[in-house]
Amino acid sequence: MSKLFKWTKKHISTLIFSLIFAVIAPFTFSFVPMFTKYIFNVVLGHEGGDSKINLPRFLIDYFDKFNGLQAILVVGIALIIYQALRGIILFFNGYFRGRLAESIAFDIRSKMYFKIQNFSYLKQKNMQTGDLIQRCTSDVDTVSSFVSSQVTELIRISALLVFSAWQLSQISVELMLVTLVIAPIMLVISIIFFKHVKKIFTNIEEREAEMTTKIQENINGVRVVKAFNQEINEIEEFDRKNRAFRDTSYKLGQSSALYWGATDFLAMLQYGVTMIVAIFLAKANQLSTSDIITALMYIGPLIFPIRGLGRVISEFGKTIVSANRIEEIVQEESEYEVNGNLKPKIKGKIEFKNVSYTFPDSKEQLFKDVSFKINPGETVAIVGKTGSGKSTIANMLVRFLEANEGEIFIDGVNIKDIEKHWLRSNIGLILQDPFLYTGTVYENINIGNRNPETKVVSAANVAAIHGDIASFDKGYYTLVGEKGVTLSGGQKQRISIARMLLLERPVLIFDDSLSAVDTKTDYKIRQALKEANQELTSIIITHRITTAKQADKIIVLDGGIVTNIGTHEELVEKDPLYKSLWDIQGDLEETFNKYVEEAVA
Amino acid sequence: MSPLVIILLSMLVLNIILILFYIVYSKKRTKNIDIDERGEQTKFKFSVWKKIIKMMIKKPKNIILMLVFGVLLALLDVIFPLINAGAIETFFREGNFDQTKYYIVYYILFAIACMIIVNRHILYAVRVDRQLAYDIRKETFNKLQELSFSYYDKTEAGWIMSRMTSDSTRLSRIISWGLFDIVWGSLNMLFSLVVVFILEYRLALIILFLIPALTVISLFFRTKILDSYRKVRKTNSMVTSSYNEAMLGSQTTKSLVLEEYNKESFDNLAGKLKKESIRANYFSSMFFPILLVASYVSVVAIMYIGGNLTIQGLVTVSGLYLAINYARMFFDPIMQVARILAELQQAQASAERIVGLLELEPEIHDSEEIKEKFGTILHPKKENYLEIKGNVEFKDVSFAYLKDEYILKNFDLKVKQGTSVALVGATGSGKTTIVNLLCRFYEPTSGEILIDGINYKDYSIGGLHSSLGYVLQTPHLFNLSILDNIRYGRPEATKEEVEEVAKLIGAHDFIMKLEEGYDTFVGEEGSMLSLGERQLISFARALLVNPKILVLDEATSSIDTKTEEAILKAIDVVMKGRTTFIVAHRLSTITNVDKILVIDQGKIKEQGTHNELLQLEGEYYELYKNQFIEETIDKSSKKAES
Repeated sequence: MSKLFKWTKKHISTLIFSLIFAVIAPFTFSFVPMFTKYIFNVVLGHEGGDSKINLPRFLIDYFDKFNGLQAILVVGIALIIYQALRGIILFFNGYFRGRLAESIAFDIRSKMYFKIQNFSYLKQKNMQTGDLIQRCTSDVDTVSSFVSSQVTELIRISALLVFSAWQLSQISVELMLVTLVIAPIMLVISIIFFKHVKKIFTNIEEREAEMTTKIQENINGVRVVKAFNQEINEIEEFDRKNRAFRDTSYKLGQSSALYWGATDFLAMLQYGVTMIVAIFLAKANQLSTSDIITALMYIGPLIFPIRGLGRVISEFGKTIVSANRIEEIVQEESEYEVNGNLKPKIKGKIEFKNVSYTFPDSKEQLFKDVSFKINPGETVAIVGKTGSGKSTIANMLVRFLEANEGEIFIDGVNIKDIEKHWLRSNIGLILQDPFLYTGTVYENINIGNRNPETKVVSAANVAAIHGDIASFDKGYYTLVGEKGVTLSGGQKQRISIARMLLLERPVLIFDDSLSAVDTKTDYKIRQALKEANQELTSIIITHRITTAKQADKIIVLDGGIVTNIGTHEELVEKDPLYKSLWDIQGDLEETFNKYVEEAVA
Repeated sequence: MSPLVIILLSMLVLNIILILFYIVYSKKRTKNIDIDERGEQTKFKFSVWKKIIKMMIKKPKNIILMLVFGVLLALLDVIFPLINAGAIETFFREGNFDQTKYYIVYYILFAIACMIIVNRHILYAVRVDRQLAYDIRKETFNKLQELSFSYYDKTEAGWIMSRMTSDSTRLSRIISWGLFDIVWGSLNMLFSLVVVFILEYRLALIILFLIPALTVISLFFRTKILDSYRKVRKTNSMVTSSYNEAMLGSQTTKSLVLEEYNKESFDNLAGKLKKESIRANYFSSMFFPILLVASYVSVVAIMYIGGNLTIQGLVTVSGLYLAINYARMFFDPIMQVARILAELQQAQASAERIVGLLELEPEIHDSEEIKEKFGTILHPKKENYLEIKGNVEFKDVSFAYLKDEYILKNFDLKVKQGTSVALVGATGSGKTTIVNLLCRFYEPTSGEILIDGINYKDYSIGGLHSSLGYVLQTPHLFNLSILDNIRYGRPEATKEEVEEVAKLIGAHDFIMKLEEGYDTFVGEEGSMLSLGERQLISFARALLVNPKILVLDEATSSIDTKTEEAILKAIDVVMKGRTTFIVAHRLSTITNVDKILVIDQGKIKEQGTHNELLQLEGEYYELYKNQFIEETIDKSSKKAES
C-alpha cells in the first residue's frame, strides 16, 4: 500500500482537493430533490416548506415569502443556480482527478526513465525490453489511475450512498432501511463478477495474441506463402485463430449479459419492494405524495452505484501487482551509486596494473594480472580471440565494468576516483553495434546541435560516410532509427564514428567498430583520423591483423593473460598466436593470387 | 405573451445560436485537421458505409434481434416511470389500496422483463460486434492472400497489421454498439415525447425544443474530447518509443554521456503528454456539468408551466412527475447518440481504410481464360495444371517498378532444364528482380518469359508456383513444429518423406538431438533454432515439394564454418536435377554452378563458370578478391578461437 501512496506525497494538495470534491459532489447532489419537493408541495397546494425538506432554514424562509406560481418560479430559478454551482463543483471534481492522475504518471514515467538510463551495464545486458516497456506504460497507467480514479471513486460512491441514505431517512427511515437491503448482495455479486471477468480477459488476450501472431507471420512470410502456393491453408489456419478469438469474446459477452441482467433484475426488484413498502406507509398516512416523488429520486443513487463499488474493489489486486512491478525498477541500483569525485585533466596516459576480471555469473576468470601501459598520443591495438576479454578491457576503461582485482590509472589517477560522466566525456567508446536515435542523420552526428554544419560535414568526411549520406535522397536530413531508412552495419558504424569525432574526446576506443567496413575504407578512416588530430590517443580492438599492424603498439590477449606487447615486427617473431593470425591474414593478395592460379589450372 | 411562448422563443434563439456556433466550429476544425490522419475526413461517405453494411447484413439474425431488444429496452425505460406514476396516482392521490396486489405483480413482471431484455441486448450486441470484426478480418485476410507481391513491397507490415487489428476492432465496436445506441436512444426520446405529448402537448414542446441544444452541446464536446485524446495517444506512442530507445541505446547513450540530454528531452515529451492529457480531461470534465445545467433549465421550465397547469387541474400530479422525470433523463440518450455521431467520424476513417484494402485488385492476376481452365488461387483446379520440365527463357524482358525507371532492359537469358545459374551483382543491379519476375511476383513490363517454350502466364499463378521451390535469404519459418514447417509446401506428406528429405539435407541429426525431435515447435520466426538450422529446414522444405525450378536467395550473414559446410552440401543436394537460380551474395557458395552471371544495371556484364570468370580478371575477379580477403580474416580469427 505504501508503494501506491508514495507517488502521491508530492501532490498531496491535489489529492486532498480531489477527495474533498469527491465528497462535496454527492453531498450537494443530495439536496437537489428537496427543491423538487418544495415545488410539488406548492403544486399540491400545501405549505411549501414542510418538516421533511432538508434545506437551509434561510432558504426555506425566503421561499416561503412567495406563493403559488411565483414560488415555483423562485424555487426553480434557485434550483438552476444551485445546479450551475454544482456544475462547477463537478468540473473541479473531474479536473483534480485528471490532474492528480497525470501528475503521478509524469513523476513515475520520469523516474522510470531516469532509472533505466542509469542501470548498470550488466543489468542492461540482461533485461527484457518488452517487459520493461509494459512496466513503463500499462503499469504506470494502472498505478496513476488507482489514486485518482479508484480511491476517489470509492470515496465518491460511498459518500453518495451515505448522503442519499441520510436524505431519504429525513423523509422516511423505514423506506431508507428497506432500500438498503439489497446493497450487500449486489456488492458481493459485483466483486465476484469482476474477478471472474478478469480471467476471461486474460483468455481473450491470449487468443488475440495468437491471432495477431498469425497475421504477422503471414505478412512477413508472404514470399514463402506465395512461392509454396499455400494461400488456402493459410486462410484456414487464420480462420481457426480468428474464430477462437471471436468465440472467447462471445463468452465475455455471455458473462456480462448475465451479470448486468441479474443485477438489473435485483435493482428493479428492490425498486418494487421499496415502492410496495411506500404504498403501505401511504396507507398508514405516513407518506405524502411529495414525499414519495422525492423518495423516488433517492432510490436510484442508493441502488445502482454499488455495482461500480464492486468493480473498484475487484481491481485492487491488479493495482498492487503493477505497483510492485514499478517498485522493482525504482529500487534498482543506479550505476552512479558507486562513483568517484575527481575530474582530472585526461591526456591519455593509461596504465593497467595486475587487473583481473570475472563475470558475476561465471566461475571462470576471464583474465588475470593484465598489465600494460599506453602513452598519450599512441595508437594501440588489442588483438586476441573472441571471448578473450578485449571488449571487457574497453568496458573497464569507461567503467561499465569494474576490476575485481588490480588497479587502472588514467593520467596517474586511479580510475575508481574519477567521476564516471567525466571519464566518459574524455574517453570515447565507439561500439561495434552502435545505436542511432530516431531523427535525421544530421541530428545523429551532431548530437545536441552543438556544432556548425561545416564541422559536421568534415567529421562525416573523416569517417568516410559523407559520400553515402550525400547519395541519400534527403542527404543529411534522411530519417533514421525506428521509422527511418535501414542503414547497413557499416554505415551505422561510420556515422557513430563521425558522431564521436565531433565530441572531440582526447581518447578514443574502437571496440571492433570498423568490423562492417571493408579493409580499404577502414584504412582510409584511420589515416584521416591521424591527420585530423595528432594528439589523439586511440585504442583499437580488432580482428584484422592488417589493421593492428599499423599501430604503435600491439597488445595480444590469450588464455586470460597478456602474452605479449610490442610492435608488429616484434610480435611476428615472438608471439605464436599473433604469428598464426598473421600467417593466415598476412599477405592476403598473395594468398588470393595463389588460389586463382590453382583454380584456373 | 404567455410565459410558455417566452420560454419557447428564448429556447429557439438559444438553439439557433448554438447551431450557428457549431457550424463555424466544424468548419474551422475540418481546416485544422491533421494531415497525418490519412483520410480522416468529416464528410460522410455513403459508398464506404454501404460496403460495411453489406458485410453486416449477410448474417441478419443477430442484428435484428439486437435491434428488437434495443426497441424493447427503450420501451422499458419509458414504461418504468409510467408504473411509478400510476402508483402515485392510485395510492397517493386516490387512496385506492385495493390495487396493491396488481402493483406487486407489475413490479415483479417489470424486474423479470428488465432482466431478460438487458441480458439479451448485451448478448446480441456483443455477437454482432464480434461477428463483424471476425468477418472484416476474414475478408481482409483472404484479400491479402490474393494480392500480389508488389503490394507488400509498397506497404509496411505495420500498416497492414493495424487494419487487421485496431481498425477492425474499432470499426465493429462503433458500428454495432452505435447502431444499438442510436435505435435505443432515438426511440427512448421518441417514446417519452409521445407519452408527454399525450399528457400535455405544451410540456412536450419544451422537451422538443431542448433536443437541438443538447445535441449540439454534446456533439461539440464529443468531437473536442475525441480530438484531444487522439493527440494524447500520439504523444503517448512517442513516449513509448523513447523508452524503447533508452533501453536499446543505453550503451551508446552512456558512452556519449547523453543521459542528461536525453532525460531532458524525455521530460519535455512526458510533460507534453501530461499537459495534453490534462487538457483532454478538462473538456470531459466540463461536458457533463454543462449538459446537466442545460437540461435543468428545461426541467425548471416544465415545473413552472406544468405546475401552473396542474394547479389549474389540466394536468395530474403524477403527469407532472412524469414530464419532469422524462426531461431529467433526456440528456442520457442524447449523450449516447452524440457520442455515436462523433465516433462515426473516427469509424469512417477505419472503414475507408478497410474498404480501400478490400477493393484492391491484385496487380498480377490470371486472365479470365486461364482462370476458367486452372481456377483461381483460392479455388484452384489442380488436376488441370500443366507439367513443367524447367527450361527457362527470358526473351527481351524489360522491367520497371516505377514508370520509365528501368531495372532490367532487353534482358535475354536461356537456362536449360536441370542446370544452375548464379546471379552476382551489387544491390540494385537487378538480380533480385530477375528471380522476382521468374516467380511471377512481378510481371515483365515488356518481353516475355517462356517456360518449356510456352509463355509462363499460360500456366496460371497457382500452376507455376506448384512447380517452384523457393529458399529465402533469411529463412522464414512458421510457428509450427519442425515437421509441419518442412512439409509446409505439401501438407499431405508423411513423416517418413519428411525424414527422408531432412536426412538428404543433413538436418536430421540436429533435429533428432532436440528433445521432441520433429515435433519441436520452432517459435515465432523460428527463434528457437539457430540461423543455420533454420536455413537447413528451409532447404528441406523446398526439397520436399520436389520443384522443377528452384530459386535460392542465398544468405548474406556469416555462419560458423561447420554450418556453412552443411549448407554448401545442402545446396548441392537441392540443385541436383532441377533448374536452379541462385541470387548469390557470398561467392564461395557458387563455385560449382553451371553458369555465373554478373549483373550490372540490369544487363549481363560477364558470364561463365567460376574459373572462366577468374581468368577474365574483370568485375567478378575483383568482387571475389574482396570477399576472399574478408572471409579469410573472418575464418582465421574464428580458427584462432577453436
